[in-house]
Amino acid sequence: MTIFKQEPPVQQTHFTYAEPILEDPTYSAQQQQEISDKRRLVRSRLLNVGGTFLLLLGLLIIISSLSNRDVDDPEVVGLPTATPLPPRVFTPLQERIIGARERTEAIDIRSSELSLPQVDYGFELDEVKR
Amino acid sequence: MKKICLSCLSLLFLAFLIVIPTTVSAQEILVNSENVEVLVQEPSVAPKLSDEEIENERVRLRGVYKEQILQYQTAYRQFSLTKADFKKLDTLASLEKAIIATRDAYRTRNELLLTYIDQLLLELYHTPSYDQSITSEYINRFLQLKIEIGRYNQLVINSQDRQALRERADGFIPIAKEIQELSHKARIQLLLGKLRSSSGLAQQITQEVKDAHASNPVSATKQAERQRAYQELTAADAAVEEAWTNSLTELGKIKVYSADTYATFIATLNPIQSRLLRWYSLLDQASQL
Repeated sequence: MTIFKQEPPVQQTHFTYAEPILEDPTYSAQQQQEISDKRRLVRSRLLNVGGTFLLLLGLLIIISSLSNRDVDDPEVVGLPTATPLPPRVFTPLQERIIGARERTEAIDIRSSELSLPQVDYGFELDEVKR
Repeated sequence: MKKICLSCLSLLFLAFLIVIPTTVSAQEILVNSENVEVLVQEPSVAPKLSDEEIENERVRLRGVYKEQILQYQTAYRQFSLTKADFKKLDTLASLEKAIIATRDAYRTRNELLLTYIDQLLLELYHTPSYDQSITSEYINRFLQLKIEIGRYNQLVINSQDRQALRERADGFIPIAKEIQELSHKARIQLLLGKLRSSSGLAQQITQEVKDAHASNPVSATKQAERQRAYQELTAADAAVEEAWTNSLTELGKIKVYSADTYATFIATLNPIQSRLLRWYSLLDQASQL
């Protein structure tokens, strides 16, 4: 007599492998609830991520369009218009003052035009240094 | 008899040979003396020319002067080259070339100096004088110097050998000293004349501005502005006079006219010019009141 013979027979449950587990009404309802919960969660997260992505994309487009504006020629808006001053009318005395001033300014103190010619004043054929 | 005739003929030929060059040189001397005569006759008083004629003459002389500078530079370069060749080769041919080049360099230098003197004379004639007697003295000295350079140039042209050129080099020393000293003095005189003329005109215009104001009465506020302008004009006049005093004190200190003393002196003229310019600016403002 072996101990195996004394082993009790395997108890048969009320379901087999052939029967789908979801067919259990209690289990199926619970599972389905979980699955739908998970689906809802995934959908909501996808919506969040997508929304954030779209938001960032929108922001990027706005920023890039703003930065591009600097490259474009600036729009000239309302430049101040200078009113030309009326030409000064000179009296004969004022003309003389201006003329005298110009002549004084033109005095070449260094008188470079009349400076001594840059010539060798002491050259000769024979070697006598002066 | 034939021998006597032959010897007479040969003597005549010899005499002819001797007489011809003498005649030529006598003609040259005659020509030279004519040139000298022309130079002597150059007036020491200002020839009457319009402003346009003066400017045209100024431009003409400037053009000639520039051309002569180039000619002198070319001749001097040639002189240096032939002199170096002569020192290296020491042959008669190289000596001959060096003599010709030296003569050309002397001649072009003389011509350049003559035009330079003409330019100074033109300015001395037509610039308001600071001191008429000094200006006349300088004009006469320049005219005399032109004669001396003309004579010297003729000697240079006639110089055929090394010894003659050595004498020409010695002969140029007093001319060079005279021209350098006179140039400094004349240019100082010209500057003083121009600035003195400008000072005189500023004083004259100041009075004219006051006269114009007197004939054009204005409100009390405007009159106060005019009075302030007069005070500034008086101060400008005093500032110019002070600069004049400083400058003339420096002029009195000059014993020998050289490039250095000239440069030191003309530096004292700058304040006169700048103060005159301020004076004219104040006059311009005052004339608008």
